[in-house]
Amino acid sequence: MTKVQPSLVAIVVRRVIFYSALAMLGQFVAVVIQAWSDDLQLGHMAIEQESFALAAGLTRVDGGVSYSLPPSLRKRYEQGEHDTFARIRNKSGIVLFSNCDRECAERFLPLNIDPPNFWVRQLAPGKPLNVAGGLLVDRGVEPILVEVAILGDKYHVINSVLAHEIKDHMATPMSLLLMVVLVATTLSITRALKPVAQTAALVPSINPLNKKARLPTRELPLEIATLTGAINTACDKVGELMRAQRDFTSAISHEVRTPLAIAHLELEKISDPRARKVEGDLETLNQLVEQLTTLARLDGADLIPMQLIDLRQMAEDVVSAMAPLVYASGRTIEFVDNGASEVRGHSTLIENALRNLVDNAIRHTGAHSEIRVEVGPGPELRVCDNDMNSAVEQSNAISPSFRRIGLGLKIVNRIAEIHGGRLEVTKLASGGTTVRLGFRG
Amino acid sequence: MRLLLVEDSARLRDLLTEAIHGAGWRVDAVATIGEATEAVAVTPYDLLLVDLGLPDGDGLDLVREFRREGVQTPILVLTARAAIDERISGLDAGADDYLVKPFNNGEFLARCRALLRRAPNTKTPILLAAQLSLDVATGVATCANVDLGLAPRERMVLEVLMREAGRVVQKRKLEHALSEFGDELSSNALELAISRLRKKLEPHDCGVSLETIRGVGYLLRETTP
Repeated sequence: MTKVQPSLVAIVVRRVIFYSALAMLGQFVAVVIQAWSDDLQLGHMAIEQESFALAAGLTRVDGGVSYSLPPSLRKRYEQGEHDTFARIRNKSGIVLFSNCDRECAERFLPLNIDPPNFWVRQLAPGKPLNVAGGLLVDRGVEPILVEVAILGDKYHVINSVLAHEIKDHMATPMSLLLMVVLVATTLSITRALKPVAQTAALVPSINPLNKKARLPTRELPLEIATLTGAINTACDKVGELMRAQRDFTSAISHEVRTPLAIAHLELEKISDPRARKVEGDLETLNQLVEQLTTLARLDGADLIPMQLIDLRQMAEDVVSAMAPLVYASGRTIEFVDNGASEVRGHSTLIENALRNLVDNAIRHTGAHSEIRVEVGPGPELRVCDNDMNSAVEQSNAISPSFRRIGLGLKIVNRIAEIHGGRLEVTKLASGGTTVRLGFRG
Repeated sequence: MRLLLVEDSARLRDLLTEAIHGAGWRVDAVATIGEATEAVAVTPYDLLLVDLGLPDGDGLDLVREFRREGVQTPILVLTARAAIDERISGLDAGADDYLVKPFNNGEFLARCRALLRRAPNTKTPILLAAQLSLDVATGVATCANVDLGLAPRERMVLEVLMREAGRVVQKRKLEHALSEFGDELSSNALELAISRLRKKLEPHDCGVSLETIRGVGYLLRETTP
């Protein structure tokens, strides 16, 4: 089983999250160490936090202010507890709430003092916290002083102070940053990869033999341009090889055909019937050369992009072109269109295949045979003959070994393969053969 | 008729020259692109025969150059390259027809005759196919000098077929020729004209045969080489 490759975006997003987590961990440690090491600062923050929490119990009543402990703090500041004290008063010294008498007088500002906006005092150094302080809050009517003393920190105020610190200085800003980085990364990678997808879509149109049919390298990011450049170079090399091979087969064919032509023309001047036989032999030899060079050319033909082919038009042209030859050989040919559809393929190859099939029909049928070229229905073509000489015992036997397979049918078979199509030869009991070449629709 | 033969194989050159002389035409035979260019520059030819594999270049380039310079003379390309895509590129380059080696004398001369019929310099508007001849100017068709007495429509069909003798003429091309001829056409006007033409040709030994290529069109071919 092949594992599905993760996309580049997925890989990068995963990494961004991983490294962000690492950075957050570092930041977390730094924040905790920094806060922990400064007792005064810690006390300051604890007083501030507790005062704010207590101030939530203030309510406006008929132009004045009344106070009741918020439920969450009730346990901590109930009367009788002796390590967390609170006193809430206004500027003129009227106490709205207090859970202490002597302890308050010892640790808080005297009631007759006009309080500052904020004050804090370390009662004892080190941990656990021993700190007292006050904060002036204004709920719109008059400033109220909320004073708190924490002795020994039984309720772990320090933890909630640290949590607060982490939330303010790490979690919130870093989460925001992470979101921005993730969105920006995903967007930029998707954008940067767009040309890759566009370029990949163009790959089927590469034609090694056509120097213009290459991937674009302009207006692409440098790295992608380098890749498409490398692909183009590889195609150039394939193209050169294909061209060299074609030139070679052309040269061979030229070297063989010119002497064949000379021999043919010379033989015509000899009236001896044996000369006619030699002419026939030369024709066979010539066919062989043609078929061998065609076979050689088929290698690499599938590297050239396919185009849409009008099967009906192509078959009609081939029938037109070959009809004189067919009639000169004493046979007849006709063309039938059963509603052929367009075929995606290499037009020269399919034309070659059809020519080969018609040629085969001329070659392997008796005189006066009728040849019929049919296209359709759909993406297929058939060449049928009614040759009586070829009648066989089996009815409708599909001949898997192509009894009369020659190089010609081998070429057609190869062309069918290149197109992902099928070649079927059916011999009819009544005599005659139907060769069907089906393509993918 | 004067032909130019460009062929690098000396023996093939001699054989083809002999064949052309046999047909009663004159021919200048050269072996290279350079000589061919010089010859065309000074002599008006009726037909150019160009081999593709030449020692000083590709014959297709020569064909292209002739066409670029506005040479109208028909060109028959002789080649060893049988592959269809090369045939197509030959015709794209401006050649009028293509003959793949090896070929026999009859085939060669038939192609030459077909192209000479189309030659712009040809002054004689008399079409010939075996014993059959059609004077385009007077409209008289004869077979072995006997007037066939063709009706105008039959003559029109025969003219198109004779201009393309040896090739299949598509049905719609013939119908088009008939419709240009004048009045409204009934759907089987072409079939009718062909069948009458056949009947008039039949009693004479013209050496031609008018074939129906079902699904495609008609073919007038010489039966005696």
